[in-house]
Amino acid sequence: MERDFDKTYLSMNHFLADIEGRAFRMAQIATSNRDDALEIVQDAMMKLVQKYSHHHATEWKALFYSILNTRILDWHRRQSVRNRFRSWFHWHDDDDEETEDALAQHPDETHHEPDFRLQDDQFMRSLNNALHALPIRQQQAFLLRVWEGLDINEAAAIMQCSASSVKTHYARALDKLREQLEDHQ
Amino acid sequence: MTTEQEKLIAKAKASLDASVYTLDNKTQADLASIRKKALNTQPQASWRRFNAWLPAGALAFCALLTAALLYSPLNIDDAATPIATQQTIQPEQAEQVAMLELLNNPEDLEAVTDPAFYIWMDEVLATEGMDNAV
Repeated sequence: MERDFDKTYLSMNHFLADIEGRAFRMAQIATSNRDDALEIVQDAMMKLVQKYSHHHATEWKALFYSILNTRILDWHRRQSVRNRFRSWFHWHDDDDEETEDALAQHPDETHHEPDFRLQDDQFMRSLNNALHALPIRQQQAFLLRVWEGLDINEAAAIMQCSASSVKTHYARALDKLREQLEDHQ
Repeated sequence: MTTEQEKLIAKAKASLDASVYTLDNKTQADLASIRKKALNTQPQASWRRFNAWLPAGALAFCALLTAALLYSPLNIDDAATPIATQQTIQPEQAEQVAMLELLNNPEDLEAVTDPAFYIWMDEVLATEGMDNAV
């Protein structure tokens, strides 16, 4: 019994360690806020461990991203309600609503030649901005398909929508990114 | 998918991967601490989950429903009713009960209201019966 628990603990630790960076970046792209992104990732991790650790390890990825995307959508809903209140009361609180440049936190440790490095940095910055500008569902469809390499049905299950919706979101995201990153191609 | 799109996808993926590898130390430490915190939370015991109790609960509910229907006071057999009545009534009420039972049964009531006919019928049957026997 204890041996099974240790095995699950180790597998879960390995799984979370592997996925946490990407999950954080996804949340950061969606929220543009480091602390909110960390909180979203923490919620997703805790819910996965508490409720789904008894599931088979092959199901964890889909379950984790499903929780993460739900948390991100919740965050956006809360933000839209807050923004509505702010617009009513003309309330500006710059300290609270910090949008950060995600790249500011990424000291580049790669050992490219300076001009390649500059080009990569510029592309990363432009990609970050372009992804952040996408509607949240298009952003999710693009990141799940391209970054996680999930197929349309898997992405649809995670996003809790139909496969055709995922196709549409993904195609629109790709078109917009191509337009905005044209200079870097 | 065009080559242009494929190139964009590959470049975007490489760039996103690089952004994870180059996360600053503080963020990496925060993520590790979050992971540890999440792993130290107790998984919800399977017996406490609602889903685990669903089949047993459904079975218990069905058994309860069946028992309620079988032993409902509305479902007591009619044949048992007179016995129960007889057991509870007082001896002085027996005549009244007999009258009520008689009123409930139209055939018996007819026999009571026209006894001459039945007396005649008995006589006829008795004589005819004897003739037939001979």
